[in-house]
Amino acid sequence: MAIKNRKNEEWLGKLRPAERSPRAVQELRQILRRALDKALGNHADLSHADLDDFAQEAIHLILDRLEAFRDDCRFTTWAIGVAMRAALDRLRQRRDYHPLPETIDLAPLGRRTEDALPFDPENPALLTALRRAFDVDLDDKERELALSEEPLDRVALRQGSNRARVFAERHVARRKLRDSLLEAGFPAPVVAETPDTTPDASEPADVATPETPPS
Amino acid sequence: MKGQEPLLALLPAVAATRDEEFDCDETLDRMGTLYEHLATGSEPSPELALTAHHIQSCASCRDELEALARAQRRSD
Repeated sequence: MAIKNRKNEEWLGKLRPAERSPRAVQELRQILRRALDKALGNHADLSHADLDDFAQEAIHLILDRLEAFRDDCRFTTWAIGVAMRAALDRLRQRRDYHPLPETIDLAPLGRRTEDALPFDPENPALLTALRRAFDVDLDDKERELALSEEPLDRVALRQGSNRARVFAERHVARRKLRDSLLEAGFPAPVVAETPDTTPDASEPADVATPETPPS
Repeated sequence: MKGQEPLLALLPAVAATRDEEFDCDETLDRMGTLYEHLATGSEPSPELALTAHHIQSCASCRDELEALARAQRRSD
């Protein structure tokens, strides 16, 4: 069967330690190498040797974490994703790395404006509450993480941590701020408007008034 | 008020924070699925929505999804 039509289970069967096929490993390496070239090959500082190294490193990562594959997409799509992380982790350590331009619209799937809590940035009381939560509820590390605009990879590198952990810590900090604002009564509950029964002076005089309901 | 400006910039992220979110490793394991969903336009699961939510707040994962898409698009 052609490699491009190989089913996930066949890939896994050929890559699991017990029955690992050197040929299948080589075929996967070639797929990753081509993918890396297509995605990153125009990066000025990347040589063929770099791409070969990235592909080799990715192969090790993939073989080590085969059990993480959830079988809900093509195996090669998942594997290329792992390869991209491995390569970009390396590239981000170079000072001149610039992220790829954003071309994918995730708005319909992910964070939608209507899902966010309607905190009003113009409300001075909210800013006071936010400042208080920031000062009181967060520790020094959480304050730094909450405010940092530095990419998580760099923060992780600087702190001797890893990206997943830094993300989780930042999430905790943001959640604390959100919960503090909610506890302080923000966003203020929407009060239903009561119908205005005051006669409107601009209303034409001949408009019939509703009949009084029977008592 | 000047000193509060950095906090003001935090507000959208704070407002969008969910109780449970995927971290970068959990997102990586679902990135291929997300990409294939985007390519086919099938109905997203709540899990995919969480994956997309993470990617919108994580520049590194975003970059990796863009790289995956570049690699796949040109070979389609």
